[in-house]
Amino acid sequence: MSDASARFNELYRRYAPAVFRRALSLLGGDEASAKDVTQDVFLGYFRGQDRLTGQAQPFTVLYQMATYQAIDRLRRQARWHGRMPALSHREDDDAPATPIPQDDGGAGRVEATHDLALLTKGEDEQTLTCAVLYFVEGHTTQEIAETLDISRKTVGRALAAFAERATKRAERFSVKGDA
Amino acid sequence: MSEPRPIPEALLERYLAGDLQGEALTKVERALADSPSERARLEALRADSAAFLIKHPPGPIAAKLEGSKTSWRRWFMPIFAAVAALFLVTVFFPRADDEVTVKGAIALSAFRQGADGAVHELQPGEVVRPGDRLRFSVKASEDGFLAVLSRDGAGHPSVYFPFGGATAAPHRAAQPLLAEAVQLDAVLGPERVWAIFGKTSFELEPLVVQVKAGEAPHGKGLLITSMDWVKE
Repeated sequence: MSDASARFNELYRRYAPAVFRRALSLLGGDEASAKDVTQDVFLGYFRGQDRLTGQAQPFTVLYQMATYQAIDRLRRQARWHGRMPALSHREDDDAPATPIPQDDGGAGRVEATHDLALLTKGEDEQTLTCAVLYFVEGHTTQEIAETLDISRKTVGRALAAFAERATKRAERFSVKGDA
Repeated sequence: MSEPRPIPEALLERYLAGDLQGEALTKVERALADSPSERARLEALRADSAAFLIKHPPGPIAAKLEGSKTSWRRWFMPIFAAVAALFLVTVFFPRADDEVTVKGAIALSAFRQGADGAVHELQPGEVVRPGDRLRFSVKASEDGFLAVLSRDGAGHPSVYFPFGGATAAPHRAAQPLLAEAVQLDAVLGPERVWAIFGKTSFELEPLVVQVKAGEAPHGKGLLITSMDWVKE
């Protein structure tokens, strides 16, 4: 086995289950799509590995890629539900976003994820992942910082800027929906 | 007294993968020590991981990766590039037009062929995707020598034309569309591309060093223009 193959096997065994579960969770239990996302993430990671700076841990890179690709797939079939909580965030605020009600068997969360997929079009991987973790999954900025290995300040700044952009997008979606 | 927040799923995953460090690692270990239910969550994840790897072993994806590397190398073989150029010029890409370039300036355009086969001219700042194929057109007022360099979202420089070359390649003003195509890799983020034209041949290494240092490439007697896009 070549060094490259051995490295691939090692990383796959260590991280692929988490990548798959991440995709599966966002894709509402669609195993076939989650498997496709897992494959695309690993192929993409290894094709671009020579150019990674080496500063980020593989988990944080792969987790963001999985989140991005799963949301990208959702976006292709998403329609606007207007289920997102108020999209606002102050840079220094560590409180989690208003939780999405869980008393409907998870339907509200699925719809909110679809809404967020539409609102994150054009956002980079890190911002998109922060937005999903914060606005849909109810993490605090500290928890997001620990998950993605970035500072809380970076998370707060990304969320505040995203919230401003997304609020305008949400208004446009709501207007379309009302029309 | 309120219940402590459960360990976020992503942090538990990161802990299981052995990637967690520092204060975050201490917090998770403390939570696991204090809570049987958190330990049960971790064991459930561990068991699920083992089941996943039995059901989806790495072999098939590793084979695809190896196959794609072979394809990648083939893509850049000179003969393939020449055939592809002829094919793409004929079928996919716009013909060189008769637009006159002002002497002393060059113009750079890029054409993207997406996964669906559609081709269009990239606009500055446009979003591109990993795997997209790009071809460049450089309009110059006279024949000379040309290179196309890039700096990707990770700050890494590349020589797009002549691909992997050490010196600028001859360039004919009458044929602005470059023969070689490039396929974008998976590095995401903003990318800047420079077209560098000289009346005589020039070495690329000093220019690559400048790009790597975060500077725009520059050199005596060189005409340079750039464009940006964002890879997502």
